[in-house]
Amino acid sequence: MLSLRADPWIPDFGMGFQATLDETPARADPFVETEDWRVPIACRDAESGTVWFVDGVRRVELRLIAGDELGRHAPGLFGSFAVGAVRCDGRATFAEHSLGRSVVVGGGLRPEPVEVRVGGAVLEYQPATEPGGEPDAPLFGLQKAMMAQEAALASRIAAGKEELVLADGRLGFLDATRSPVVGVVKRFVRAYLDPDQDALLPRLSPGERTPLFGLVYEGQPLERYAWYMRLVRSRPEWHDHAGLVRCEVRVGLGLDDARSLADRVSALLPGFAGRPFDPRFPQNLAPVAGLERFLQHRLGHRGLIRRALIARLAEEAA
Amino acid sequence: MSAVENVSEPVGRILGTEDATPLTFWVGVAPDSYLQLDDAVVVDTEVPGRGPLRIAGIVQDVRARHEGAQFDTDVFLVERGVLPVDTAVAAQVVATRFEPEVFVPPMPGLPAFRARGKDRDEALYFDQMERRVPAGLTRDGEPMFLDLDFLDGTRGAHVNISGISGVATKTTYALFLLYALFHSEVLGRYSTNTKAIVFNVKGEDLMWLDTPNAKLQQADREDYGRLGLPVGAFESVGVWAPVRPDAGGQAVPQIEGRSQGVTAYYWTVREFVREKFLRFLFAEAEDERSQIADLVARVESHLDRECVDDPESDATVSFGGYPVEDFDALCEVIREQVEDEHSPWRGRLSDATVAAFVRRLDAARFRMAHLVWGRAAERPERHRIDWEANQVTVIDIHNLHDRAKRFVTGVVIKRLFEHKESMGRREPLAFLVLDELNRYAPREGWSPIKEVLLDVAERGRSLGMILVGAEQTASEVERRIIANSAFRVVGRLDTAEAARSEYGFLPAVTRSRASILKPGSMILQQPHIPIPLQIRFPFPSWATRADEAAPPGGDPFRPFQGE
Repeated sequence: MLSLRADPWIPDFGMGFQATLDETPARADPFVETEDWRVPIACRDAESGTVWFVDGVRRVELRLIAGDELGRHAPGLFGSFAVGAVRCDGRATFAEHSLGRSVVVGGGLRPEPVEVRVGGAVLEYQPATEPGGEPDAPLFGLQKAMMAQEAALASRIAAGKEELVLADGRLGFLDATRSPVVGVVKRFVRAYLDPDQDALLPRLSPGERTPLFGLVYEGQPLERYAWYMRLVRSRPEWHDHAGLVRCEVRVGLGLDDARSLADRVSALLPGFAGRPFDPRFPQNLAPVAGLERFLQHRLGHRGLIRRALIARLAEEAA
Repeated sequence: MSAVENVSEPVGRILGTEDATPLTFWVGVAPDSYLQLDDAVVVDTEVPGRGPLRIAGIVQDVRARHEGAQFDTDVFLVERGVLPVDTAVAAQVVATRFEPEVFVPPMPGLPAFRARGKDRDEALYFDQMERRVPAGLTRDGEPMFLDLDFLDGTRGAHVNISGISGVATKTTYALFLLYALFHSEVLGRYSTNTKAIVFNVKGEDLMWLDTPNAKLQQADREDYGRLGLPVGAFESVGVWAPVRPDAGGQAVPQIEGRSQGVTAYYWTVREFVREKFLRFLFAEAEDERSQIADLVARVESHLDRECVDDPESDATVSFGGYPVEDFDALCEVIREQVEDEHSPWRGRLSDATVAAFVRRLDAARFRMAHLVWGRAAERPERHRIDWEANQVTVIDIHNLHDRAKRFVTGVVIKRLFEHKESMGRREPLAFLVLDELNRYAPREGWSPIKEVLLDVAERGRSLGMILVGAEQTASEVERRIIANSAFRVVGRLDTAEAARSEYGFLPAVTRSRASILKPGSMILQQPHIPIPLQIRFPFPSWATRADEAAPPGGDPFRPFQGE
């Protein structure tokens, strides 16, 4: 039986880890659509059907050090996450959402499920293990749990009618679905393109995109087509790559479908650009920002949950 | 009313994001429900160790907002379908009743119901009103009542109505209350003997009370039906108008619109002397009790003492052996006496006081000499206002000069008050409807009419004399008159007036509403219910203008019934 002890620091401290999962090393194949990277491709959205946005949020409630009877120690955490969707068809409405709570421990140690009573509610923390022993390993585990749930939700929605599903972050799954799923990556961390092609990016205007390129992660076959597009007009003080997003679709769609999907998404996405006061303007799309706020709220009151968890650990330690 | 409407319906739950207190709490309104201002709400709860508790209240405010939107501009994104938000609607409820009286807040999350039927009666204390007078309808057409106990002097008395002229329909509402009193069963065995005196101060609006309103619509009739009132005119009305000044000895009423059923009124010199009416010639407000008032009192008592009844006429007196022919002659007698330095009438008062007295006497006599008759009067008792003859007595003063108006109102109210005082019991009640109270009982200064009105306000409750007073601005009316009114009614107010402390009983929201009230809508504050409620009253079923007066005798609706 694993013993769990709290780290009294608020979990926001010492967490440089952000989103390594979004931007893993990969190689680009720039000529899948065309070899001409001199001019942007202007896009026009012919149809104005229903668009879904899928996103998730996570929060570390309490960091832990777990120890077993053999004297092994590993970092851990109590975390919560929520995933949900917004449906935009002229009106933006919150659709399905779900909550998850995890107790994650690194170093291959496996915790028991934990139940905590907060006010009138009982929160159940499902156990998860990460093999790594480094301090960020449990957070990685929480992130994976959230992404799995996001992918499941996106695929559930995409199984429905001919609609368009825009999932936040890298495309989480590559199975065929009835409606297309597009991953929208906010962060520009890694340059996948060679300088020759990369030179096109600063010249993009809203509603324009780069040609499709293949994105091949190390040790994997070609599974994704990707492109860059601009959400809002650039400003003089911005760097070259500000205001861009990268979108991904699965290769299984076929090049023609991928191309028309890229045109459609590039045309419609500027309309959903984030609000200027958003800390992640403009990539944090307005529906996604609204959804994140909604989901954060669904996680429950942070202080109350933390207090209940600490009380619970104190009971165990006594 | 169908059975469904008698059952309270769930509309939402008590909010936990706003403090719930015993007196005020918020109800989150469920998406498929609504609550509007003035709705009655009930919440059932359980107090540990004390058992079940029902809290009833009235919706005082309702708000709607986007939840999840941070900035004002978000609303445009929401409308473009870009930003998802929830819309939250919440209603603020002011508690009116706790049954039993355990003053605890309703717990967040408890279901709240829109009160209907019996629940609504309880929320508004109608169940505790043994004798309820229809007072109008709420905006959704439910009847509203007031408690006769607080009107007839049992526990309180008097009504005060404020509002802008023309829009506030103050007199019409006062008459609606009278109509409701006289045409419902609420007065019981005193019904026929209860009287009302109504002064017609503007236009000839009140001269048609005994005539059905030909312009009444079917919807108006339904309003009366909901209130349990018959549709029609006042049953017993006496209409009195001042005698025409230039009628050459004929007592002809001075009135334009109506030729029949109006009696001319005047008083006689003898009444004037014996009943000490002189003071009502000096009825404008004064800074304080000036020396003129002393002189008036001296003259009144000398007149009464030194005049003997004229053996040849019931209507006048003789002074010093000579009959006083008419009012002018009486004024001459008074003038001669006070101007005579050796006369005991003037006492030690200065020439300046006497001069001021004579100046005012002359001014008054010029304006109202025609209202006091001497030897010319034939059968003067027929022209003496008789409020016992009819249930409602309308006294027209709108054509009279201001001094004459004060004289008539002063004399009538004084006589009525003395009459009630001598009866020594409350029932049957006498109602007095008087508009422009600010003119007769102004906040500043003293006048004989104000004194009588204050008497009515302060002692009328035990004497059964009920003042239904109205004015444009309560801030200009004597405080004690307002303070003694159990019922405060407010029609359209201008915003500056509404901000005055006289309307402190109106919560801020209601105060703002008072500036947008339509004619026919009033805000009613009554002792039972801790917050004022907006009501409307039905279109008058009696005529208020010549063109509304249905042809006498015939059913005005006959032509529409397609015989």
